[in-house]
Amino acid sequence: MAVGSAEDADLPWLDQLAADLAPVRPLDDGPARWQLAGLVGAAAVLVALALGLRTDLVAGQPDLMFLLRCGSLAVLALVCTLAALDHAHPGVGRSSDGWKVAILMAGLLPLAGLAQAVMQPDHAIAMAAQPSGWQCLMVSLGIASLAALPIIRHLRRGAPVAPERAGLLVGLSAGSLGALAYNVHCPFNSLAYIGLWYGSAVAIATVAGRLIVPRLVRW
Amino acid sequence: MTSDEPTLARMMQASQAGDALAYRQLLGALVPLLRRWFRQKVAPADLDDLVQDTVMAVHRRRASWDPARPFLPWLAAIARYRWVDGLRRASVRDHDEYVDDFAVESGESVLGARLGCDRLLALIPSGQAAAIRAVRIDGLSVAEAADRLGQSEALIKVNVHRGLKRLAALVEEG
Repeated sequence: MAVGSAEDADLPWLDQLAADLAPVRPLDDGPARWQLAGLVGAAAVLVALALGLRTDLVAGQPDLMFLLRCGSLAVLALVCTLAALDHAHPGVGRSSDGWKVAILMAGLLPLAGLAQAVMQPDHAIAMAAQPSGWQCLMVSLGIASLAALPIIRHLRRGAPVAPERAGLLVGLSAGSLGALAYNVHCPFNSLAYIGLWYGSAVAIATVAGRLIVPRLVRW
Repeated sequence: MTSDEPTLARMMQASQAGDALAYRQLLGALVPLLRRWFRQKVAPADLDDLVQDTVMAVHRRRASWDPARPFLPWLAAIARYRWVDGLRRASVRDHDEYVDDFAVESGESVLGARLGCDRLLALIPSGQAAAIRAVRIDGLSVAEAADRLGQSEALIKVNVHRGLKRLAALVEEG
């Protein structure tokens, strides 16, 4: 196809666009990743300073359940954050389902918690009645709200063509990052506790992201 | 110069660096490319608006193209997004029957395949696809579409509404 053919010769708005062209730096996900890493790291430090670090971490002997919870949240946060940031760069045929696998993997913890609740209902009721559960939920969601901001700002600079899915991923990412930061304080190792309170934090952040973010990133 | 992937990508990369001449050439290549492609996707009265809307989207969002990735899938995603958005906003207008002169050149066929709107229409129920084609692409009135398709006017409206929702969801699925 010839460039500058008669078909577009009478389009002065193209000349105007070209005349108004300013150089742009291709949108890079790197700064947003570093901002998030710094933000969540700072939040974890603040949580440790304000609420205290888990005693097993202080002793240098982390409980295996802590490692499992921490690892699950970290993997979920990493995969969903990368997927959310990538939504700033549209491209047909590039969709990846890795984040769905991460959700399935992370979903094993709440499922195990549910199983424990069925087998040990008294324990589950005690965990649900823990006042610190609400603290877990509120602090996690507070950090999640902050963590969502750099991702949303990045998406607004880009061209997300799937705002609903981007919103879902922002919520998942922010929720898991918030829970990950709070996790350094939380002294509980119960599956029922983790499934209920951590699961609720990630789930609420995900629903909020799905409902709120699309209208913020639509263009 | 052709509208093949390497050429367009090279021009886009130069455009991001501020090369106005390369950018003008790129826009000149995109307009007929998009116009030919959109010609079968929207009513003729909406064609120029949709092409301009898409080019403006390319202009405003040009930083979102990553030079490490191919250009045409990026363009296709933006064009498809604007197309569905245009369908949502499209007014029903009378027009002559559309011209079937879909050009088949390397770049265009690649773009057309990647835009995949015909494929998208094939993925929704036939009644909904037919209603969208009749009302939003061929520009028939609801009454004319109902007459042509043998559906009630209420069903035409429902099929258009539901079909557009499904199309938007399919676009979001990539």
